[in-house]
Amino acid sequence: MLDTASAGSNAANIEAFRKGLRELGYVEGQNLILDYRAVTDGRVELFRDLASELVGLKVELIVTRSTAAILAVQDASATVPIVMAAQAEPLGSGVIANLAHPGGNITGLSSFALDLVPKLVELLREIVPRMTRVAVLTNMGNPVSVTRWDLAQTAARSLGIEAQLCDVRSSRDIGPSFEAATGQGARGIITGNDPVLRSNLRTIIDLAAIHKLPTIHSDREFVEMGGLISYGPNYPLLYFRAASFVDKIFKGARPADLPIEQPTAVEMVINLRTAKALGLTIPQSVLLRADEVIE
Amino acid sequence: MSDAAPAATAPPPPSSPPKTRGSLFRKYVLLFSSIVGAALLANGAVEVWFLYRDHTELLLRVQREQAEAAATKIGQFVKEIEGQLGWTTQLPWSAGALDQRRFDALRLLRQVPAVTELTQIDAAGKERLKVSRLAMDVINSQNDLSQEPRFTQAVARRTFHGPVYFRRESEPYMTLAVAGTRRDAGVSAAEVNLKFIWDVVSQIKVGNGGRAYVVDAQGRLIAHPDISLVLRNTDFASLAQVQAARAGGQSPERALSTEDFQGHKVLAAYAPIAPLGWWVFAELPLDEAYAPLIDSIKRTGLVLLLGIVGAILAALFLARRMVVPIRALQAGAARIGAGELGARVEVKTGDELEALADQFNTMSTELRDSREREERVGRLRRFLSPQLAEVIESTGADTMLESHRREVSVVFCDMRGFTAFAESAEPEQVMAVLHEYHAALGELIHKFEGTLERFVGDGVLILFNDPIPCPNPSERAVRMAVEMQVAIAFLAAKWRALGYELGFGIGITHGYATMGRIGFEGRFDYSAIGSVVNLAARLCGEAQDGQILIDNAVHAAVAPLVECDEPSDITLKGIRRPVRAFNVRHLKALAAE
Repeated sequence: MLDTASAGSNAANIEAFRKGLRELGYVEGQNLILDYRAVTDGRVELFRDLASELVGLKVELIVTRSTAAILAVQDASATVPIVMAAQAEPLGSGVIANLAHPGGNITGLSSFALDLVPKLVELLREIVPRMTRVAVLTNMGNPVSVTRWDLAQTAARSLGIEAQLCDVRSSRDIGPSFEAATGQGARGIITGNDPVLRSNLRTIIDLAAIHKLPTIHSDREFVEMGGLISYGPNYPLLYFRAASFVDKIFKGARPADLPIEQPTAVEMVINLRTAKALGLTIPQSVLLRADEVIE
Repeated sequence: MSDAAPAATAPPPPSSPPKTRGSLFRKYVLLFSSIVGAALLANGAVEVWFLYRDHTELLLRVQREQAEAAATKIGQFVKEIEGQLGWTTQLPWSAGALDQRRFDALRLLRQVPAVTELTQIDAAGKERLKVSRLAMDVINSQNDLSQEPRFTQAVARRTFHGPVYFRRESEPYMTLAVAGTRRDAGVSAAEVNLKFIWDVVSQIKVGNGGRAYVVDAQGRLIAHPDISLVLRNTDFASLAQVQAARAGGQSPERALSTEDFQGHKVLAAYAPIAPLGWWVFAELPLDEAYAPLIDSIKRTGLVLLLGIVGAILAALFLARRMVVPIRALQAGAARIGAGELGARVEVKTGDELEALADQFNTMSTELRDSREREERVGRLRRFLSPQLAEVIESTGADTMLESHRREVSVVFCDMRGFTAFAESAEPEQVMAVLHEYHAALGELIHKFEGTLERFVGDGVLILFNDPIPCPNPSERAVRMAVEMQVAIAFLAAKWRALGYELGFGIGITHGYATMGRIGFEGRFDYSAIGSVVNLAARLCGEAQDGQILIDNAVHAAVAPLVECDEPSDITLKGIRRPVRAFNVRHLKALAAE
């Protein structure tokens, strides 16, 4: 596995993946060896070395998450099959040719998190009706982030509000981003879940609290840490499903023949503690959609 | 068996019987085992056929039931969504109701996870509300949707089931629209994610290697345990089972044996999902479906094989039982043929064959007895007349030889001058004369069927009417005597030429005598005792050469046939009164012919 977060912070997903493998009859140490490698602090440039290392270990298959990781593996080996656990935008980033017939030696699941970016804007606006400006925290160094920013801008415009881009390429950019956002009157923040942002999750949540800014995320981990609301695919479920792709490929299927799966459910998690701290009342229309409420 | 052919080139005789035996043996074994084998085969075939039919029927019924259960579930799934949609069309379109409608719509999304997007259209066909999980909500856009099928069809038929489509070419979706019961209620249209049907389908267990799947009315795959196939937008319309479902879908069997999309042979059953025109298929690989059947056929085959082997063994046994006695009988017949009369055949089968063998043994015993009797008769014939020998043989000597009294004619004859001749001549000459003499007499005794009672040197005692009764015994005796005189006269002339003076005299009497066996164990003779015998001997003694002296009783019997000299009364030794005796001169012409 080549992932964007350390095994500790990605435990829920890894455990879901392991569960999927167990249900398919794989037992670690008997008929399966699982090696986990992750970059920390969003240093995606390290994926290259880690990919080479895994290929050097003669792994039979690599499960990845981020676009950067996929590109690194594809550079390191043209033959090792890749299973995407939760790729945000496989089509736009060009790693696959077609959802039904991905081509190459790659398949897996797409989170289609970007699809939901307009929905994030809408939900944040619904919680903060007087919001006129929204800040989008994302790493523009990641190819998918361009799309994210475009979608956010369009959605904001359709709601008559301004979108402000806060480009976070490393942890050093986070502090200044918040300064810029509050400085220009942003009343809410949408974050990406790029490796850089995920590895600075704590800082982002703390700064949002300090600046009294409501945040919305694609990934429930942010909300569990104190973010206000998340709306996105159930990532552990995607990791669980990824196990079935691993199984099929181990049993001889060609990755190119396995269509990309999409999440069947979108879940919303709201942290009411955070809402209370921010002095916000979550409207009924939002609460109705919530799958989980953290009190 | 040809004696003409040299033994070296002729087929060896012993090889012939085994050949015929082999053919019978083979015939029996073949016939028996083929009859039993055919019966077993027919039985096995019938059994397998019924087994096959029942098994297939059962499997298909189970599969059909599974398909029907899944179809019901999916139908309920759709009905439930329709029901939920129906609730959202209860309210009339009036100002200020939009917020409430949005809450209702959000609640619906919450309750029905399969609905990704809900659009509410008012009675005029304007879009009033769109709530989505993925896209931004749209409120009161007033877009004109009045020409869209989801609106027109729903208004016309209250519910509308759109065709299955694939979002991003991979996610199966369907539009489901329901019109309100009130005229101004409008239409609620939902985009339903059909992946939820997959749960239903993947839970169906069709055997171990079987599967269930769903195709839409066009034959496109909607749900399959292998999600990849659905995501690849696979078309199943060309499969025989899908064609059968779409063509004559209402046929009661709803099952067939065909191939799946990978070309594997499967048993397929299907059921319609009524409201949608879709079909649920349950398929079981033929290998798996018929594995128990094949096992059972194997078992039947084994039993069949054992049965046939048993039949052959039984046939061998029975044929052996049949052939061995037949062969014994054959051998017995051959032994009899070879002269071993009385050959016995041991057959203990307790059936007709044993009866046949017993019959054979009886026959063989009879044959032996008959041969022995013939031999005995042959031996007796040398001493007795053939008639006597036959009688003795057929009636048994014992009864014949028992002492009895009967009226007999007794002929006694001997040679004149024999004593003197025997004294003077060489024994060889005596024996030669006796031989000629006896041969001449014997021939005549046989001719007249007399019974030679005994030889006493040149004396010969002959009986008539005993032991075989004969008509006119005295007449026979006299006729024989006349011929004897002629024959001996002929011989005497010859002997005279040799210098032997020999004559021949005969005495004949008739009366009662006692006949029977005399002698001791190891040597018995048949003998006649009585005065009539003595008298014959005495008359013979009185007779001159060429004379035949007969007593009164004989004369009385033959008087019309013969011419006699004047009777003379002769006083005989040992007989108190003189006896009247007649000398027969010759037979009358009447009788001489």
